[in-house]
Amino acid sequence: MNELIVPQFWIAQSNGNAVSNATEVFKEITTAKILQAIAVVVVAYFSTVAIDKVVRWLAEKVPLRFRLAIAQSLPFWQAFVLGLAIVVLLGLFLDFSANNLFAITGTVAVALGFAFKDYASSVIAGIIALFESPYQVGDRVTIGDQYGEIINYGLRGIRIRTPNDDIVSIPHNKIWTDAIVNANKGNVEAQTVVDFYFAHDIEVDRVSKILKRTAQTSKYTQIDFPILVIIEETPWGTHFKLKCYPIDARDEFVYQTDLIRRAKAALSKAGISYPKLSFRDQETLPE
Amino acid sequence: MKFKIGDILARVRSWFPKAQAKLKEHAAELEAKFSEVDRIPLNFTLRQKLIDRLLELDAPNPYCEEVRSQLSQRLKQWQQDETAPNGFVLLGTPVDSFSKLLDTAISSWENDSILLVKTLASSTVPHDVSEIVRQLRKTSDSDFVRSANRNLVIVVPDLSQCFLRCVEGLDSIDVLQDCVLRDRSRFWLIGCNTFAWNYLDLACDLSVSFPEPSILPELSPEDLKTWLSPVCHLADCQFEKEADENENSETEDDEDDFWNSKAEKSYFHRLAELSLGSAAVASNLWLRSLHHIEGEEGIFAQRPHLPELPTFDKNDRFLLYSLGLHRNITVGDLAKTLGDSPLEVLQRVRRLQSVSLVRQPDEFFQLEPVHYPRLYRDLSNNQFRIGDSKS
Repeated sequence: MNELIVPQFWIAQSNGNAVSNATEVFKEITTAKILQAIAVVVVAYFSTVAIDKVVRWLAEKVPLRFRLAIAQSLPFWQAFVLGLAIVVLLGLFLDFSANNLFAITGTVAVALGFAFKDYASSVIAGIIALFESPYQVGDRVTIGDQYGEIINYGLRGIRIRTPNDDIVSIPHNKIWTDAIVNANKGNVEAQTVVDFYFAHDIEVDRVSKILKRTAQTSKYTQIDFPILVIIEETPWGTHFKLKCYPIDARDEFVYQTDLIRRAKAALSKAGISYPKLSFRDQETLPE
Repeated sequence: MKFKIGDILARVRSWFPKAQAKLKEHAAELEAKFSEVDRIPLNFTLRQKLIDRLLELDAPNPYCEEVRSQLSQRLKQWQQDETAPNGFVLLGTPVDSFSKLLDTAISSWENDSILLVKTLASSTVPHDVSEIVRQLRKTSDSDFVRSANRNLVIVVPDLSQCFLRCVEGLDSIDVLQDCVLRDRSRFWLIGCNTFAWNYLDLACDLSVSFPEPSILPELSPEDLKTWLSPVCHLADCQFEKEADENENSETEDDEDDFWNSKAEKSYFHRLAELSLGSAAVASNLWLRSLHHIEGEEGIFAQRPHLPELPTFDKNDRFLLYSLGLHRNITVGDLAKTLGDSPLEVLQRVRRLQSVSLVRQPDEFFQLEPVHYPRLYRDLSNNQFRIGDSKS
């Protein structure tokens, strides 16, 4: 039988003035154990990939009302497989007596503290975020300058798809320091805001009615959610904000386009005028 | 919310018979698929003749009874109490015809002291909002209506034909609400489908004008047999026996005198269950179940089953919902409700027509009634607010 001879690791623990008995931490490493470990890693890897594909496929196949619930279960399944694999691997090579557990925890903590501080911080933040849920798969979030739909929840971070179809990776440890703006928080509906600008002399009630009707009659609108028209006066014109919800938050941008297109057609038919800006007014325009 | 173990147990217990019935249903369908009986579809002429005969049928009696009893009851309340609502809405599925139902129900309604005025009949200018507004004003302001003294009922047969889901398309509903709320000396009877009612109630608070809408009753197996019997006799159809039925088995109980055979009874029970008690769905399912059997004389009705829903995408779903909302609609109007180009909508409609989800009996497109029960579930699961009646 091939056996790898490994040096014996001894870890000394100090407790006040006394030095406790050293304990053997590592178990004997054999070829069989290494093969077992490789098998565990391979099975864990393919299980994670399979779970990812199955859950994503299923989430797209089921009716809308179940989509997010299924998509959001993905990190839990992956964490479960990963956790199981780690426990099996540690069980293969380490001896978990009470003394060893302290020793290993201390060693790992020191190693992580120096070498993998940010990585460990992200992983821990990811685990905490699983339960605190500042964001979940399918949510539409703004973190820093990035806005988009969370399409992946990994061990170290999330991936979001932006409106430009870019994929942006963001580490979980942003939750310690950054504000997380979540537009739908586990629901399929997310508020959409569309801005309209008109001249000061327009009939406000008429415009409000047209904008409200535009939202009420859009095929994308979730009709039992509130539809609001907010008006703000500025030096260069009257600013209207139309706030409403699409049936599916994924339609946010086509929904905005649909609202603008249909509102402009109706407003043009009604002869509503837009603000005419002087050169000086342009300096006060919002970004 | 109170946590009651009894309720949970009752619910769990109720799953078992349902699961058993579901399994039995699938087994019967599989058995029928693999059975050696060669079924031959009806020829075009015979099928057309039956379709024409079905269209000639009056609305089912339980529907008419419901209209008459609700009308009498609510009218009486309104005549006795000035603060009582001066109108009510009758709800049904987006595949059932309200015009015919209200015509039949009202024509045999005996109340000489009440005058009936029908307006916005669905045969005239559906979805033309400016014309609808003009007709509403004309009816409301006519001398005949003005001179009535709390003895006039204005009937709007199908509200789903009286608006269009586009920016100006809800103006007619505003005018209708104005007429109803402003002058309480007239009573309004309005037919509407559940898709349109839920939409209009959420968009225009229609339940303020018409509180507590009444829902058409679900037709029982007995109702369906009675209603379809003239066409059944014409087709002289026999009911295929199911696998677990004895040869020549007759119904035994006295209470089952109504049924000619166990096969007939089980056929109509299944028809009522699948159709959700809707006359339009049931009559189409009945027609689908008819066929000839090779080597045998006559027409046979096999155990009815709902066809599988063809696959469709999110945009098709928007279109199907719009069809339900307006019941009868042209491609041009459908394009306005969807905010898409007419050509794009026509392409989509034709594709859905080719998989029998949509039908076009005349210039208007409609939902295919046999798909309604499954389509209802699909739309509801995909967050469309379509009400919970007939679910």
